[in-house]
Amino acid sequence: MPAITFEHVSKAYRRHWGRGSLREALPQLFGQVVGRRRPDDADLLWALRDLSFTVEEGETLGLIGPNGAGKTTTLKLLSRVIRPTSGRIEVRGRLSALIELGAGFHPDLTGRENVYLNGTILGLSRREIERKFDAIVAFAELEDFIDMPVKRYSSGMFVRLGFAVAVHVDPDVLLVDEVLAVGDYRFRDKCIEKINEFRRRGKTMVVVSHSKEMIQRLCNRVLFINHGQAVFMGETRKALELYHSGFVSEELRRRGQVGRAQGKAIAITEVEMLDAQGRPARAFRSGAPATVRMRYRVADEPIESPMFYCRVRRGYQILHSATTARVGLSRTFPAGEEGIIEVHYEALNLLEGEYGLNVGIARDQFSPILYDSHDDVLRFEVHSFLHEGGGFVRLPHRWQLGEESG
Amino acid sequence: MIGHLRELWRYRELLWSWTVREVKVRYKQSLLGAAWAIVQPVGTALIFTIVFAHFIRVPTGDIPYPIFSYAALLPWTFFATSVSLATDSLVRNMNLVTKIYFPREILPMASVFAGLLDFAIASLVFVGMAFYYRVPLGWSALLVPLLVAVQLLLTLGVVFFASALNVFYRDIRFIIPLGLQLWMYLTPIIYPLSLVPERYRTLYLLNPMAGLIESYRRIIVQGKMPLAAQLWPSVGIAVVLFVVAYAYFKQAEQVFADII
Repeated sequence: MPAITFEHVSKAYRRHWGRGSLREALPQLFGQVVGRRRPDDADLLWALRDLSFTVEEGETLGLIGPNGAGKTTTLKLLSRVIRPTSGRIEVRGRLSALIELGAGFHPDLTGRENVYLNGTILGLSRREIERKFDAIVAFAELEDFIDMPVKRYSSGMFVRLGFAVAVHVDPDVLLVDEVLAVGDYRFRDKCIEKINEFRRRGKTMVVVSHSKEMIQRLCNRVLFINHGQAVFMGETRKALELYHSGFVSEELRRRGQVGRAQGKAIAITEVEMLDAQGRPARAFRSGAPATVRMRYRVADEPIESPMFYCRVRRGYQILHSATTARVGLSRTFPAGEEGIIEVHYEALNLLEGEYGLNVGIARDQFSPILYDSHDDVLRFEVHSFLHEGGGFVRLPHRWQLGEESG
Repeated sequence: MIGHLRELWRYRELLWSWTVREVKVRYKQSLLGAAWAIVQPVGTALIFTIVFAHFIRVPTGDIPYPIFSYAALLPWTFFATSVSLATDSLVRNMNLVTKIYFPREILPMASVFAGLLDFAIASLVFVGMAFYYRVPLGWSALLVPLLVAVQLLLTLGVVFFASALNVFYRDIRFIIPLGLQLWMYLTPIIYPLSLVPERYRTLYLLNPMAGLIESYRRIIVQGKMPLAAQLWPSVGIAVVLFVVAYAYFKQAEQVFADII
């Protein structure tokens, strides 16, 4: 008997309902009563469409997918915060959610008062809370602050208390939504340990995370959804591979769009990134080859040996800059010429994360004059495994213990 | 309905905790704290006394005006404060409504129940006044809890409608104060029921608060039993309103988190 059953579940939101005022709503209501206007399909936003899955007792299911895929909607349906538009959902046993920790905390109340309040919201009786109170406070490491109003807590303390209450509900089914992105590392490890303990005790869990690490560490199986539909359900490794290889978020799918070329002596008209096979790509394995292809157009005057540059960035930090000047590539670009220039990266030695490109054309290496420039024109993802290291740069390495290397 | 009530029963501890929270939050960080519960009805009674006993002279028989108006303002303040606080309760706590499941009626209910404490505190003043004006409190005063129960049903009925509608149309929040003001003038608070022309009386008593307030006054100020013709319409309307409003609320509840 599965602990969670999701059967042909769909969820639609009405786009233009609520948040409104009576002035807009009255004609609409009237129209509905008279039968002229019914909410039509165009008005509906489908967050989930016909999603089915089951989670067996004691199993940990990972839920992955890009933003807006329907992960959070799925969790909210499971926790009964929202109701499905159609389909059937069944959850066996007490459910608790590590979603938005400390929701329901009141800033003016003390930590102690909030523990009781939050505990009852999560379904504990006062007696149960009394019994677990010391354990909760100890877990949150807030013994000295428990009688202080939580508005004077740091955000870390706040989250710690929220987590401590939520995990002490001792549910049969636990939903975990990206909560571990907060808090310091040490507390985070403690939380992961607590979640692992749940798993060992045979509790059922559903985990939503963007962190590959979390999914790998916790899940038996993974459901990969996109546009509210299941893409893949099965082995964790396979799901992650699928998600991180062919699949890229919509935002990244956008082509390298550049502004208009008009009025520029020489301009970049298009930027594209290609994989080893020459296909457009926005996601790469760490260490894989990649190519940046730029199209350019020269205006009415020939340009004498301009310098093209291509920079890899992460946030505002430039990690690498390549220019044609550094390698002595130069020639005259005749008037009206249109062409392609490519940078071939033998190996993208970057680690897991999202990176961006700055491209442009300057008069020469030392000139401040830019013919054209496009910052953050295109984003791409790099995927690496835990053992390859953390940070930005891939430094192939190995550890050796015991003997001096000879 | 039965199923909903059963679930509510399972969550009774939350209802209690949330009521306690409402009370604590209301009094924490306010200088006068619980004294505010007294200031409001006493202040209003004072103003009414000046205006309606000295300027306009509303006839109240042999009852001193201060105690005449305070006896009515006491339950009315409880009603009006509950309605205005509870209407906003779902929207005010939207971060909870969109994150955690629990029977949503707990939020407006807690706002109403939290008002009971104010009501009790303000009632102490009435006892003092009764001594001062030598109004003998008769056995009929024992019926107060019964009237409070009817009033609670009525208040919850109003509040279930208002708080749910407020989720869909935020205008409700602005309509409520205006509505309460009109409602107060249609209720025998400033004036006695006897001033209402006989032929409008039946229509007038369709306002459930009218029958209730008049009955409060009869049992605690005049020491008489409530009149069936005044009380029963209120009881009937309160019960029907509660049932209909609760059913509506539970229906509307299903989409709260979609909209808020």
